[in-house]
Amino acid sequence: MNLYRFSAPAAFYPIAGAWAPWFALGAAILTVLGLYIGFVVAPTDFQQGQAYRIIFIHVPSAWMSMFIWLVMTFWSILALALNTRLSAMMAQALAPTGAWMTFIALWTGAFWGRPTWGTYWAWDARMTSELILLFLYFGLIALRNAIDDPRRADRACAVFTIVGAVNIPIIYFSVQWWNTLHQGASVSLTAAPSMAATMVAGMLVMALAAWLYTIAVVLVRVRTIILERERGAAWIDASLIARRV
Amino acid sequence: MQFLDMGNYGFYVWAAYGVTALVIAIEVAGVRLRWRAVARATGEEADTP
Repeated sequence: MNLYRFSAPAAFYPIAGAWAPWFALGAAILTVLGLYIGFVVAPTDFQQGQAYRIIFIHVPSAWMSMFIWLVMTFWSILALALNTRLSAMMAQALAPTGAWMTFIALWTGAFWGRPTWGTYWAWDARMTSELILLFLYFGLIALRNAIDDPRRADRACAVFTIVGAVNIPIIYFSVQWWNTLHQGASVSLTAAPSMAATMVAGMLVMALAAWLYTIAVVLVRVRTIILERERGAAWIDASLIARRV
Repeated sequence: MQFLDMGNYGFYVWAAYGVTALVIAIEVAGVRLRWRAVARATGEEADTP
């Protein structure tokens, strides 16, 4: 099978349409399962009481907010190096969801911080760099909207995304580099988690749900972008006649 | 009721979860409406998704 075939919007469009409902269904099932583990199975935290249950959305959304920028960076490098339209469209489709994930991470963090730390907000290294990430997402979306020619916008946004990626390790390692309010990682690949196994399970299931949700939303959005940008192309007209899109 | 109370942390827990649910509802609705509008403008039936 020639995988390069799918780098053509015409080939990817029907695939994205076929896959999106399945990712959405998976996200819904995992969300129900994750919330069940998070609210019913997982015990009350001995220090934080029930307030800790916010982490089941805080941690997955914070992970996604950073990871989406990295995925956009990957697509941006491809778009610049190979000049492929679909790569740039994928990056474009990811940005709004990245911004929403960043907002959710900041919002849920504030409502976890108030009962736990005694404050909604502090100019702590992790929180400030995450806020900068939100502004980077806004800047990226505004940059795209400011340029009329989509192909020029692709290149400008790709450069912006690659440069902006410098903020991701700053967010991730901020809790190690600076000793401010936000605690270090409770879950890592190298050490045993510092919390109950059921809490970790709930968090990981919710993280997987956030993944599938992001993929589902981005697939629908990239289909919209393809239709908008390729309108008038022969394949759209042809498939419309065949009603097989 | 005890569940909603969340050990006196109900306000914080439900403010966090409520706004998250709202954000997801807004994003999903937005993406679907936009898809439908563009698909209709392209002359395609808005059959999926």
